[in-house]
Amino acid sequence: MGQLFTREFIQAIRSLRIVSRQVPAGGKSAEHRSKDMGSGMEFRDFRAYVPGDDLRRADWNLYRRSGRLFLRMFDEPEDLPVYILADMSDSMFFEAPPRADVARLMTAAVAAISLNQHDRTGIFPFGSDLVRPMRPLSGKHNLPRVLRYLEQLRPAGKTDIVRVVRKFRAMGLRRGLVVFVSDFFDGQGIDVITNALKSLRHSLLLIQIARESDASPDLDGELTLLDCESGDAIDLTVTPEAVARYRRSYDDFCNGLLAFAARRRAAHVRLDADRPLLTQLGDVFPDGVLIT
Amino acid sequence: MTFTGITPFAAAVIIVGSAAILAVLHILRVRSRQQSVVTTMFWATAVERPRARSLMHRFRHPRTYLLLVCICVLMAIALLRPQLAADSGDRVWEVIVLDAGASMSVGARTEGETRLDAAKDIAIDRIRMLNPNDRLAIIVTDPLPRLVHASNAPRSMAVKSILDIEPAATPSVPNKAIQLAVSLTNGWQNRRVVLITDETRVPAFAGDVTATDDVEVKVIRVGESADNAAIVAASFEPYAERPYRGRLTVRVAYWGEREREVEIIVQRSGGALLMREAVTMAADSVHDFAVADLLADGDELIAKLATDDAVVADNMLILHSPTRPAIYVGCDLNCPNCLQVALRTDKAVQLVKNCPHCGKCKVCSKKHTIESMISIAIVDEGPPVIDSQELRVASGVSFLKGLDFEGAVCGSGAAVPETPAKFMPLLLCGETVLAGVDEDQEKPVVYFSSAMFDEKATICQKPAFALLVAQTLRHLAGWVDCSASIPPERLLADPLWAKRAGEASQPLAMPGSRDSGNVRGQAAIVKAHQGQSFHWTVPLPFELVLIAVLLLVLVEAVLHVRGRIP
Repeated sequence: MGQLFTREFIQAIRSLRIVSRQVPAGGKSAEHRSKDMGSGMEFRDFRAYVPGDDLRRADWNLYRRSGRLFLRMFDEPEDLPVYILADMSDSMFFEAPPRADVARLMTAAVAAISLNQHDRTGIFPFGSDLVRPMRPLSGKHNLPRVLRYLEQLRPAGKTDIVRVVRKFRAMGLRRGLVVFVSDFFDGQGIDVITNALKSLRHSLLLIQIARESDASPDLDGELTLLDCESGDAIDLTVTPEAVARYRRSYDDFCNGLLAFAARRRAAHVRLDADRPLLTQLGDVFPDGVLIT
Repeated sequence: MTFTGITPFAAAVIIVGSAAILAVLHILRVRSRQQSVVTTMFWATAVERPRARSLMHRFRHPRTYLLLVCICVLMAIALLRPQLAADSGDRVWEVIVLDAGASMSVGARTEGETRLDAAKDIAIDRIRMLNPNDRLAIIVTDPLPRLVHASNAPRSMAVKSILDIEPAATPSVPNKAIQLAVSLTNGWQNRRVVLITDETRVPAFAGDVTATDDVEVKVIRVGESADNAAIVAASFEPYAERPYRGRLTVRVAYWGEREREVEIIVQRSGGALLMREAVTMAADSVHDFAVADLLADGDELIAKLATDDAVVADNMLILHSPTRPAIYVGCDLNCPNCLQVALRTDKAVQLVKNCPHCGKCKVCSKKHTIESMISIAIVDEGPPVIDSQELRVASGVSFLKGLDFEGAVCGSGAAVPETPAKFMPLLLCGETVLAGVDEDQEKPVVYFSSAMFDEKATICQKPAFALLVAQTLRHLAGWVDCSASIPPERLLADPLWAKRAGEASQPLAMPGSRDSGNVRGQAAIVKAHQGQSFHWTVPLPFELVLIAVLLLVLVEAVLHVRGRIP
């Protein structure tokens, strides 16, 4: 166990669950209630018999009363593919504590929960491009492997979400849940980001790693601001008016992300990079369950 | 380098102020520090415009532009020497008449400053006192009054015009300048003529003008008082007993309002001091300073007044004492006794019996040169002269004027023929010449008729005869009464000539050089127009404007540093 993933953290996430309202059909048997009718234990509905149906599912008592043949339908629990796109760009490692710590902890938490739920879980770290993704695994015995994988992640350059999403989509993975862990600081702007995310066919869980200084930067005087990723310089006189304009811009960014999540019916979670993740898990998983 | 509308002090203030501004701007210069941030995507939209890095770039911002425009405007206003008008009365037409005559080059109260400098300062102060809407013209009066600054010229050029004025070598003509000034303002209200001069006697023309025209004439006196002591004449008077020595008399006249001490120094040009004497002279008085027992050796003498006066030019006189050798007279020992007595009456006459050079010839006919050798000839051949009692001096002989031969008679003899070209009759008996001279410079001859020495003649026993002989010999020897006077060109420079003309022994001034009729007494000062009716004006201190500019620059710099303006 590394320094990042403590035993307390592992214990804390053991009881958490992720429930998806939309589980794509066609998966292997697991714990998620899918649309498929199968051989589960929980009765869901009747339907009329059509030639070719399995007569073992016919409800003969109903046939005796009504003279018509109906089949009894049961739920088919399946697995939920979980693809975690973890932002490992330079901006995630810039400040102290780095946002990458919270991102990796959250990635580990989601991965651990998914593995516990027998879901296939893949991790796709990215910066300017996807970086050595960990192909989907299943089984909670793979958790140590996941943690080791997360431990060795390093900064991966400038954020390019559009490119990452395009590459991820090109993989043609089975529909599932895409957990996007990032600060979403992509110079192309929130509109470009949301357009790219909109193209994903998967369910979305957006985990935004932020900190208080993002909204209220502690800057003053004549500055030449250097972007930690691109190195772009902006000459700036930090005035109250400039800070107000910055805050409006930042709020527009956040609101744009929230609006997208609402339109896309995606879950959105904001984590504070300055606070321990354990203290924020209660907010992210109310009653221990995160419904996506 | 000449500054218009700006004094050297103000120029120095500008330089120092600019240096201070630059220093402050250097201290307050924008120092941006680099800082890495997680992203600049929000700042890129938050910053409306990047910070200006050049002056022109900063003009984009209205507030910065407004500040810089204010600074430039204030600087321009400061350089134009603004004045705040406290009274918005009617426009005043003021003509400043500046006296630039010779007397204005005399030192004023302040050491090293001439009266013209003081007059310039007064004129400049008056210009600054004027309201901006007042009209101003400047006239310089020296022998030719002329306009040096027209009323439609920029006010800022007036100071330069005044500073360029130089004193003339001749006296000024203020009355004509005032006439010109009045003509410039014809047809306007609130006319004012300001005469700045050192004249003690204000031209009466000013009074005439104010009597007929609605013109306010104000006279501003410069310098102490325009009194003047001057050497007006000098003469050498030989002693009767010692004709080779004499007394030098230097006549000094003083015109002024109060008595003053006049000190005169007479010395040889080689430096030997002959006299140094100080006398307290009353106003409008004449005093003769005398140097006694001065050798008539022809040396150059310098007489000068050790005092400052309105006209410096007449404080010194250079003259030559007369050269007085003996008057050698060639006279035969056979000449009548009465003539010999008459000749010896004059101590300057030495009778030469034989030539002092060769000792042989009696009358130096062998081209020996004896200075002032005058021959005396008694004519015994010529028209006869009959006894007569009507003896008279020939007309036109100035050196014999006043000789009285009444009662004297001549005897019989030959009259003097008027044959030489330069013959001049001296004494007549009727139409007959009894005595005459041939004024040939090389060999002058005095002719006497033999009738004057006849036994019956009594004329040669009269004192008038001795005077006739002595004056004639002195005239031929050049022994006229030696006097020296101020040359006319000096008198032209004397502003007080009108009074001096009566005091000088020889009025040698050129007629018409000064119209004395226009110069009247002190009573002509226009006292009735000395009332103050000026508009009250407050000159806006140049330094305050500069301070305001400096403050604006500081405000702009501080606002820029604090981010209020980009």
